[in-house]
Amino acid sequence: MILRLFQNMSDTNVVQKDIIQKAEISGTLLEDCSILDPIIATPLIAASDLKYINYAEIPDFGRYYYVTDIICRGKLFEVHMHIDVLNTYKDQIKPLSAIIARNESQYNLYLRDGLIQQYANPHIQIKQFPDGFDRYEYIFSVCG
Amino acid sequence: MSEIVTGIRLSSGTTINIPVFPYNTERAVIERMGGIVKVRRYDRSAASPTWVDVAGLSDNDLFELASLINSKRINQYLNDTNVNPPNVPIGTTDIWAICYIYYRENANGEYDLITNIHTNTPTSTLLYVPHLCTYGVDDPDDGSWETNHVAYQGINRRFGTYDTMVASMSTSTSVNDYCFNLTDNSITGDYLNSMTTIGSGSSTGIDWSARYEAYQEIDPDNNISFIETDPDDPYTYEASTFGGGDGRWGSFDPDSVEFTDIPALPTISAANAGFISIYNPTVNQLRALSAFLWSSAFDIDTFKKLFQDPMEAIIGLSVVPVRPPLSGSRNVMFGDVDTGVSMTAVASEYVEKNCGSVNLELLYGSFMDYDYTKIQIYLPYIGFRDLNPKDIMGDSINVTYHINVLDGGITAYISSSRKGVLYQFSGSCIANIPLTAINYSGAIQNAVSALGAASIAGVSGSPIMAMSAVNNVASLAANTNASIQRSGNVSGSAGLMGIQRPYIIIERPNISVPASYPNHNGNTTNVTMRIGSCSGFTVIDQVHLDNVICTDKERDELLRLLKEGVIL
Repeated sequence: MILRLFQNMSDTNVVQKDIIQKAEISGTLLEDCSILDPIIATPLIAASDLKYINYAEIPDFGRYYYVTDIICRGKLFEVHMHIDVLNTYKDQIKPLSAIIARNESQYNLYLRDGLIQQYANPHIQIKQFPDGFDRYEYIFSVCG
Repeated sequence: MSEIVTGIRLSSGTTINIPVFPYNTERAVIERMGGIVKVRRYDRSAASPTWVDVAGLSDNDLFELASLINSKRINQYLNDTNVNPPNVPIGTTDIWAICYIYYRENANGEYDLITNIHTNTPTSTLLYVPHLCTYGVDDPDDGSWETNHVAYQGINRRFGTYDTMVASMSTSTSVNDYCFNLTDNSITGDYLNSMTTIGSGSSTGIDWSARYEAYQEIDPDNNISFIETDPDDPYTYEASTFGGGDGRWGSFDPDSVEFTDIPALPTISAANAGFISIYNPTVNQLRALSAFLWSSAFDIDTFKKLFQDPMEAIIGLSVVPVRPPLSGSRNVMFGDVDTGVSMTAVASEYVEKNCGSVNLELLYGSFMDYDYTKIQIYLPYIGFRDLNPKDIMGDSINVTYHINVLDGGITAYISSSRKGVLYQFSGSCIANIPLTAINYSGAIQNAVSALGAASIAGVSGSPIMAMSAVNNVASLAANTNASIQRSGNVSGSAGLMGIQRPYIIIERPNISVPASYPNHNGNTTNVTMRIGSCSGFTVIDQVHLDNVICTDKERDELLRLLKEGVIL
């Protein structure tokens, strides 16, 4: 089974990962593992690549994976992985129509944003009206 | 107009076994009484057309007929050409017959059945959509039938727009039925025509728009109709129904403003009525009048023809904070007694005082300017009042008083430059000057009522006032502790000692927004967009991952991540 190994520079919540391929090797899928969390044993990882490899693709599965762990067992490396659903299905989710709750560049600030915090000391502005009462007058009223 | 959409799932190769409504009759009535449904038909073939009960239609049949099997699934068949594969795998032998039953309430509170069920004989691999033959009834009782119409509404979203459907609607007695082939989504057309032609007449009179709206009201996410017939269900009699609220916006402008102006001053005045005279004296004039009253020039005998006491002729002496409109000087008369003291007469007791306007600027240009901003206004002789930022934020706010100098009544109008008068508050601005002992006790009473204001505002009352109002002060103090107020009553004489110019206090939130906040949290959006059209940090509120071919676990994880926020 072909395993492409990458260096991933992107955060996990990035849909399209910024990855640099480091190696393409063959390995053996261990039994009793999930397609979502596969484990592939291979002797072919160069030691110099180990410090870079954190991402993988299994073309046969059509999926991208985070490399969660690499375990040495004798001369074999066990590459433990977990599916990256964002990168794997990016082409299928991008055409989907969705209700966007928050976005970095397109927004409406008149919607309440519960994430914004306030300091305890508010701004206090006092504005005087231009005019007021400025005189006192006697009023005397009589019958007739 | 109401509608029931009914789907009945059939076995392959069988004839659809729908409990048949009396479609070979001309009209049927569904009556629903306490959960028991009765069907009657109008037998026009009889010599004397009358209503007769429909035989052979059990409640169970009706129950089956009116129960919707899965409207969402049908809707997906009919409306979503992108479903690949459809819910029923291609090539299966599942057959659906779909019936649309329109009924509407007539003047008798019954429901006229105005759509027939159409049946067909299915074969495998095809989803048959037996379209309906709809005929209308202009009036339930006059027998004036409309012509036959083919109802396309039920699937108009699949085959075209409503308008195009109506345009192509047949007015002949033939019925065009279509078959919807699941294997390639093609329309084979004119597959069946087993409609019983009923009646004839003109081609007008059917309210198609109403029917279309009825169709629109179908909730695609729910089974539409269910007639409960369980006699043990205590709620059967008034089972809940669909149709509460139509969700249609009114056709008016919700932001329209019919500007409310500050009213004009009253045009009638006590000063002109002839019974009283109102003066705006100077201090010296008042002294002169006082001297006259105590002098020998005052003829008490003449005066007693009208009054027992000279003071009875005096209505009041008070201080107000405005100068009333004047009408020239004349001698003060007590009845027909000329005091010889000239004072400036008041032309009208009503005075307008415009205190000008201030602007309320937006600070943030966001919800913070409205939801988290507090505005208070101080109005002389009235006190502090809360204003709603949603009413006035971003506007210019004007304060104008109308004052009655005779009784001290004062009304402040707070108006917005864009919306007119939004608030009006009233108070009193008069301080009566005691002329006799009786007047003095009244003045004390007035002062005590305003003591709370004076105390809170830091203005000391006189010892007499304080002693007279120990209990009152105690209760006012308790109230002050109960809630934070900027002042109490500032009317009357307390108001004269108070601040004489209105002002507003705007308390705005002091927000703490970290740098690069949008990059990490995004800003509020709440619009429907293609996910691919978004860029940067994005949080999805809702999305249907229908076309993402993945495992359930992957779908769950994908949905979770999208809702937590992703960077596109």
